[in-house]
Amino acid sequence: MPGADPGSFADFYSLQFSRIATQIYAYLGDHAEAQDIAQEAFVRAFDRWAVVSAYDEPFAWVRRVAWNLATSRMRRVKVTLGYLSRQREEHTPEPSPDRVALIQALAKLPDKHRLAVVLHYLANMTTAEIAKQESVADGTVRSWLSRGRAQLAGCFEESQEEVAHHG
Amino acid sequence: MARTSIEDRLADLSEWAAPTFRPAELAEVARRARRGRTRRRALVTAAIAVLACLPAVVFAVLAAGRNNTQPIIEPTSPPVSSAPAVTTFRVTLPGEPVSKHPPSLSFVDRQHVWMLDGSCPDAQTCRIRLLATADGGRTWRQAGYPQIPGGGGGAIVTFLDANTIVVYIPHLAIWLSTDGGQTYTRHEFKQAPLLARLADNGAFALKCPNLTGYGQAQDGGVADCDRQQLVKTGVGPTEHQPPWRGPDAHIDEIGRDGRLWLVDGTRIAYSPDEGKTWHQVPEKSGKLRLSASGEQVGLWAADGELYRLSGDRWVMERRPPGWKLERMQGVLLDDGSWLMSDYDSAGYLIDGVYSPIPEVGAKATPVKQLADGTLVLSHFDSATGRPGFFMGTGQGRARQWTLVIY
Repeated sequence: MPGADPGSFADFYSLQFSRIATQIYAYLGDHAEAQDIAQEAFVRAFDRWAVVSAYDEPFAWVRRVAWNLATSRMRRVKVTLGYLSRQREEHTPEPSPDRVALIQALAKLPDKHRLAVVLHYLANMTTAEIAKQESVADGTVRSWLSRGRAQLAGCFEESQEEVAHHG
Repeated sequence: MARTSIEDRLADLSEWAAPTFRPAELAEVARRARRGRTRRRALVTAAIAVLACLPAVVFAVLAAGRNNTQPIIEPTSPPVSSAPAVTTFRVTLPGEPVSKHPPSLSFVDRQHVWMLDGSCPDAQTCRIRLLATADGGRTWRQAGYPQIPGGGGGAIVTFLDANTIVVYIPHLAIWLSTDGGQTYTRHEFKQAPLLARLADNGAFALKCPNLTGYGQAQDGGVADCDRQQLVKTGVGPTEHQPPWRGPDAHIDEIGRDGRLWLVDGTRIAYSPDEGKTWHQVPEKSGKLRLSASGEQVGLWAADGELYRLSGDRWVMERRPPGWKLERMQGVLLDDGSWLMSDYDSAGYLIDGVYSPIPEVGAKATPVKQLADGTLVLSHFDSATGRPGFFMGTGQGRARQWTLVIY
């Protein structure tokens, strides 16, 4: 890997791994799958670290790769989890009922609405940044976000007043 | 869990989930990366072996089937130079570097490029170096940047052309320069000129009425609406409005032939007369790709395939077996070929045949096509650690390539 700096990759990797994995978890609702996808994205980043580390935002590159992988896997009807993934899953602490309810509510959202909610609220991306990543208009992302959030709010019986305030 | 709002519930989920993920050891990451490289090399070797054997197989088949008629073998695609010459310019930029990361580039056309080098260690202490070139990157001048109270963190900078710059600071104001960054004027969101309020990547866009141009509710505009308006940058709403103006509708791209393309979910239509009349094409979900002339219309479909509009139907593009598009990007060229690129290579795809451009593709990021048809790929020179960009001028696959390293 000529030109790469494994030291800086190690820092980047240890700091950012759980951040990416958490976003993918919220999107897919599958802990083991999120772990695998984040791992694959960072393997690809390591392989190209000489180039990726020079980008304005290496994190954005890894996030993009991870989301592409997640979207690609979403398309597949059958998702095969590897042996190691199942092993990891056994050691994962169970989420509380509230968190399970949130994951289930997220899973009910249309893919694009869920994507907008996760990228905006968990990845702290602006609607303009999401629009650029998804190659759509800013208004489209705002619509996805507004609808996704409203649907989530409905699941948790938030008052319409509160939705309007936050929206 | 006392939290009740959606934001708090998501934050709680994030806080809980983050420590539950355990990244593999670095050695394991390195091993998997090596394994991936080995697999790719094996595939390339196998492909070369197949290609090397192909002439012999073809000859054997032709010889076996030879009769009185000479076979006519038509090429599936015009010949493409596999190693085009690249003219390289190594330039020194004026001023001191600000960020440790490569600056971001905004291409107006083959001559005019903006370079933004910025660093904001915190929102109050932003340092910005703005550079411009008028000769394709061979020489650069330093342009001015507005003095923004509070540091200017979170700025969104839009370059409308070689002279017009819009600096938007959320919750604060808009700064506009029409003289290439020599002077700036400050405007409140609602009082800003339409040119600045409607600043966008294209000449036309669908926007919610009364928006500041960026759709931030905090800035006094309407954040969301059920019915958008077609607006012309710097002019305002057009007299005729398109048939679909719902919240998901948008103007996807504008080809050089002047047609506007309207996309609303799976519905696609175009207007040849700036929105007066609209013509619907077959429905398909995906991202439009137009050649510079606008005559070639492609689609990167939601199903992950490439399509081309042929008459009144979408025809799927052939591609090499096993070829994965998921991490590639591409543009459609005027000759009907696609320039495809990922982070390892770039090449042309036509009639299902992929022809790499080794000198251009190495260490190149996904490609852009400018309104004048010029192709641009970002580059990182691993030998010197300096960034740069490739620029391909010409038409179709007949290109003259330059590489600017800075």
